[in-house]
Amino acid sequence: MAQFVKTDAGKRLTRLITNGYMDNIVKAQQGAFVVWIAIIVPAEIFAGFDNVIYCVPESHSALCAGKGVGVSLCEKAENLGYSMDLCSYARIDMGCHFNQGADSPAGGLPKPDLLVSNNNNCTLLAKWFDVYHREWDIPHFILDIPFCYQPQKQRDMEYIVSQFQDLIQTVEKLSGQKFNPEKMAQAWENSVEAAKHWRRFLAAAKNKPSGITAFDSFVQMAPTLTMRGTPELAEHYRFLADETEARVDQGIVPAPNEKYRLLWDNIAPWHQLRKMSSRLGALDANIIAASYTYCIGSLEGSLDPLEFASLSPLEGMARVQNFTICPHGLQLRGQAMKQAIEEMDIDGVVFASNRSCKVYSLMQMDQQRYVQEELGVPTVMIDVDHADERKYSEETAFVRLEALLESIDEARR
Amino acid sequence: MNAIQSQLKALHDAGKPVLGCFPLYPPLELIHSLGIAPAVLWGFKPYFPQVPLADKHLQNYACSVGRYLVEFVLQDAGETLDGLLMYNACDTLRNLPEIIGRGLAKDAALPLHTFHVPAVSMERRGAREYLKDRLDGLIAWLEAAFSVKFDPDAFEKSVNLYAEMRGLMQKAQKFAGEGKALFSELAELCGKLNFMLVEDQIAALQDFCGACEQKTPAPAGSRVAISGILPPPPEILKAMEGAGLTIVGADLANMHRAWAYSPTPSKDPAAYYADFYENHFPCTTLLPTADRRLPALESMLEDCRAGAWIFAGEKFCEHEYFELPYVEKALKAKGIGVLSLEFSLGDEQNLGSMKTRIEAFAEMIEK
Ligand code: SF4
Ligand code: SF4
Repeated sequence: MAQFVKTDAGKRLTRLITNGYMDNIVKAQQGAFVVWIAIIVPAEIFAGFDNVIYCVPESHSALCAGKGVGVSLCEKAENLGYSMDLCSYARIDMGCHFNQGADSPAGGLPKPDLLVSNNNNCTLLAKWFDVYHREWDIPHFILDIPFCYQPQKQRDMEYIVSQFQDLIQTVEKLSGQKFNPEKMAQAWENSVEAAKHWRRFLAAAKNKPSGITAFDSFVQMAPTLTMRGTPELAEHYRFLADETEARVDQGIVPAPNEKYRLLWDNIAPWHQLRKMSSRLGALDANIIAASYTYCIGSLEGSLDPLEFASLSPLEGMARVQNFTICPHGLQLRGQAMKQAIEEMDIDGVVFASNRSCKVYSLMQMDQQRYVQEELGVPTVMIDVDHADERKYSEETAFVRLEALLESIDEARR
Repeated sequence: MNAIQSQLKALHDAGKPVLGCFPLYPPLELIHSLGIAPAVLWGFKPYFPQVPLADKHLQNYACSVGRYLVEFVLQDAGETLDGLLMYNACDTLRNLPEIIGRGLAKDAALPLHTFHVPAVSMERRGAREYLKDRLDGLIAWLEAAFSVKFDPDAFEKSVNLYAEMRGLMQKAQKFAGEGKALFSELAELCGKLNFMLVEDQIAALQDFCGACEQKTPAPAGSRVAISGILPPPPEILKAMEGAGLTIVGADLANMHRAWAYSPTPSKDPAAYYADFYENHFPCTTLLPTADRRLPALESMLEDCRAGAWIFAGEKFCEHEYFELPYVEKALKAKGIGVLSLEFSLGDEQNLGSMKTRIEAFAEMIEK
């Protein structure tokens, strides 16, 4: 049965994350310049300053949802007039921070001195940060990152680099600190190194039975967002990959009776990680990979590892701006999914249609048709909001998931 | 064929290529200057009670603007449209080009171009240059796809025509505010103008304004401004007017937000559109205008002496809904009556209760 086994890397992760949130609170109290960023904003830039720290509201919202306080925080935002149709990450975050960090398992995030958003994952995020910009009168710097229907163009990369340079100057001006490009370059190297180990960790899914579940990757991805650029992240992912490979070598796998190898498409269902993985495990099904995490460490439209030898750190950071699923189009999404299905020998794909995240979800019907009809792989679509449990019905989802397993059996006959 | 298609077909049959433009503020002047008829693909609600083709491609939590757009393009299947232009107005719209591409049968494929407008101030490093590059790319695509040639003089001429049209639109809205026309009539006209050439828009608006000049003002009701992406459905507008509300300001993406600002005329598209997007009347979808949005709305309310504000929300439009609590709070603090309504595809069954709320609101603000 697939289940959560707290591995040494798992225990290490808990310590890293807890310390990360605590450190930020302490450093902010001691006068650090605090930046709140959208997940893909190049955090390595902030490592180029002596005393600039960054916090990631989206990741914090995921943590809140995972710890079971997502709904109560969403309701707090709704009581302030924010529509229930807005992304649940945003509602959780506003519910938390307009109530002085209420209910946050991490004690909330220290108040920002600067907000940095981008419009590539979603434009919604810029609107969400604008709410704080207005309410708290804090500067908001938006990075304009063109969406990719085809692999990112050189001209787009140059445009993005010019904005990074602008961001550096803005932080220098607002924080009064001097930027050191060498420190940033070192941080970038750490990120590239971390990505290399992350891909080694994910490769364990190719094993039969898979060495990991997608749920492991959901949990372990958190420091990619909150600790990017640090040597601790590279070291943690090295440890994670080594440990995972060793476990596979020893035949220790999460679902020894794995009969169905599934792929998940969309953000993690944070409120369901344990429940969903164990209930699937009882059916000998394992979601072994997810588009949400297999994109980390590669470029849009591919699962191949990053190759940056010819790029400067700023160019490298610009080049990865479209790597997550939301900032690129259907063709590229299909390309990467095809590669994932082939490389990991996937039996079926679960499309999690997520009302909160339209950017991820509104291509899924065509993507589903492509996988089902052109790749000949059985699929199912279920409704799951990644952080608002009220918009999820376990029973309805499992009726569909079981139907998927039946259609996989059917296809095998 | 519905009325919009007939309008477009007439253009198409007259030899004008018709370019379907994704909302909200595509570079219409440029397209027009190349002898192509631009049509912004919105305002389809009255023509499609359901969207069966779009439903095969989009979940029901996409906004109705996106769902109607897909339905229209897939139903039309190239019968009237000769190409499509998308720009990055919002998250929903940017997802649609490839979906449409897959939805159209291979023999009905349309040339399609995606155009990125910087979502930051033109004063930011690299923004103007990037916009210029995108415009050069757009011009090159239009020239190749429609066998036309860009001409700076023709561009300036189109710019002037659009400026004239915007001026007339403002005049028409003023007449509605003075009780010389019903806002519902103006909104209906606007819906039609969207599918006409700017020359014909000017002629139609001159007629509308000419007729208004002859009229004596109807007794004014409570003066209300309305905000949103598109006007509410005609029956709701009529219910508002029937309840004694006079809609004197239209902070709507296809009305005042689109007409309020005309850039300095120019032969240079890069200079013109940098001005256009930078100084546009604030819209929730234009990120760099965010700081100007509330002051602009407040001064619009003041200018048109509106004592009440109705938010006509497009369900699932995050751009609008992130700002709503803040705007509501600010306007209430100024003593302005506020009513928030929400519209979506298939909301016909809610119209009755909406009308009741409108009547109650009208009574409340009258007191
Ligand atoms: S809409 Fe999607 S991409 Fe945007 S913040 Fe929410 S979850 Fe993230
Ligand atoms: S209504 Fe809002 S979400 Fe829909 S297309 Fe317009 S801007 Fe986008």
